[in-house]
Amino acid sequence: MATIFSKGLSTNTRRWSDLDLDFTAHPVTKDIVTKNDVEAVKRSIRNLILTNRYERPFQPELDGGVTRHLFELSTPHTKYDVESAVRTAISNFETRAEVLDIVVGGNLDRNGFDVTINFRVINDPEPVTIELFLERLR
Amino acid sequence: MPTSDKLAITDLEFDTIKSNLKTFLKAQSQFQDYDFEGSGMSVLIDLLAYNTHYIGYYANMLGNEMFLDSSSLRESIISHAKHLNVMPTSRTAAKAKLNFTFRPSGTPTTLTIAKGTQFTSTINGVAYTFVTNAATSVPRSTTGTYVSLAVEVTEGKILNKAYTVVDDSAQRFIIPNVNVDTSTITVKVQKASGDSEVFTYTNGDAVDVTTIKGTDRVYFLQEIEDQKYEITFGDGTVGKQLSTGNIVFIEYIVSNGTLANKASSFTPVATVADLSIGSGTPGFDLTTNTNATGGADLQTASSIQFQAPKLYQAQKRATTKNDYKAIILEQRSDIVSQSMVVRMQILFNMEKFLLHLNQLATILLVLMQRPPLKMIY
Repeated sequence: MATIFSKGLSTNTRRWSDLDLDFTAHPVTKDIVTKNDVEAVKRSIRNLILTNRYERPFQPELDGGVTRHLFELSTPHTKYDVESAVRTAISNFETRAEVLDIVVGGNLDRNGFDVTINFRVINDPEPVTIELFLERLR
Repeated sequence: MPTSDKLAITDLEFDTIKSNLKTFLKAQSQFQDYDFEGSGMSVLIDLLAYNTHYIGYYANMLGNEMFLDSSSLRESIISHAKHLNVMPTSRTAAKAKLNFTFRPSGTPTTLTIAKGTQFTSTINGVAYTFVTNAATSVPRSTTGTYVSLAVEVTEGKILNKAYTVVDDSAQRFIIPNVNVDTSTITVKVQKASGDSEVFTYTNGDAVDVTTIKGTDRVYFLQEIEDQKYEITFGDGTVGKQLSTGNIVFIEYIVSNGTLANKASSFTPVATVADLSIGSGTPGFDLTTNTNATGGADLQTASSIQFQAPKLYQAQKRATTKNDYKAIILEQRSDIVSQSMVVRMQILFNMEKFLLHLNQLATILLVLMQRPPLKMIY
């Protein structure tokens, strides 16, 4: 995996762009919609966290790390484990994001966890928030 | 790796393929996030690399299986051997010979040791079953004794399978068991369920195919998947063709191969010729004439790869040293290589000796027929 430094990222003029895996067509151009800048990083983090171990061919180490906790009882320990897993995954595999805070809350009615990730894109001082709902089946 | 708008296509490893795709994308301007593992582009690159790797692996395996030397699947090796007219040897049952002395209560003209009479022998705590593969008639001698020497018993179990021929060209006649000794296979065909006439078919592989007529009752044998065997019949031009409603009976022995070699002590499972073992009258005595020998395992894939070209080279001749080697390899796969070489040498020397003897006899004959030499003083 290439590191962010190999891209020569020293200014905030760097633009991020990525494909949207929903493959939505642009209403006017009919081309595939792209995700840019912060949205690209947000989508990347979301993809990363929802990836299970051995899901990617030949990359068994690539793991969001949360799925195994979703079958546990909703206790403070489990919430801490989920938070730790999310933090580790971003730290290992998404070098564009600097995590500021992660809040994990149990959602007993829906049998899942609400996860709020506050982070900063490395070339952008503005904090960004992603809200995810993690459940056993998706 | 340098950035290039040309895609490298010679690599087969997943990581290298992925790296090549990234190198290719670096030369494009549309997307920048292909090298972050969570990005959508990365997911697609993984998919592309996986697909390429999959096809590359498939093509590689396909290429390997196309040649006898590089094939790894037994089915492929057998298919290549088939082109060389080589049939891999099957598992072979060990055979022993037994002597019987019967003492019946009356004075019957003959006694019969029925086909399928069972005996057991134990080797290292494991019991093996031996059966007679043919009925043996024991006539009363002039002195009134009933002695049968060297009755052959074969290790294994006699099994049967029957098929009714249906109007379907895809019908296959497969022997459903593994570990079959193909030398024990017998094939019989009944004309129809209402017609009890049964014809015995012979092994067409054992005769010259050009001599087989369209009316000859022959079957052909081939090894198929999972180390099983399939029986095929003629097409009306080479061998008689089956008709709808025919019933095919296949009988064969399933054996333990080498495990039953050296069995030396045999006990009858039940009565033999309706007599029980024992020293009294009626009764019979049983002694071992020859210990069990000849049991061999299925020819291995590597052995087929080694032998098939040699057997093809020999073309069933017995002229050169290598021809003898090929014949021995084909007929006695249980012989270890060292003793095989010795036997081969003996056979070859015997052949040379006979050749010399023949030449000597010819010379003598010529000398005897010519007029006597005149003595010159």
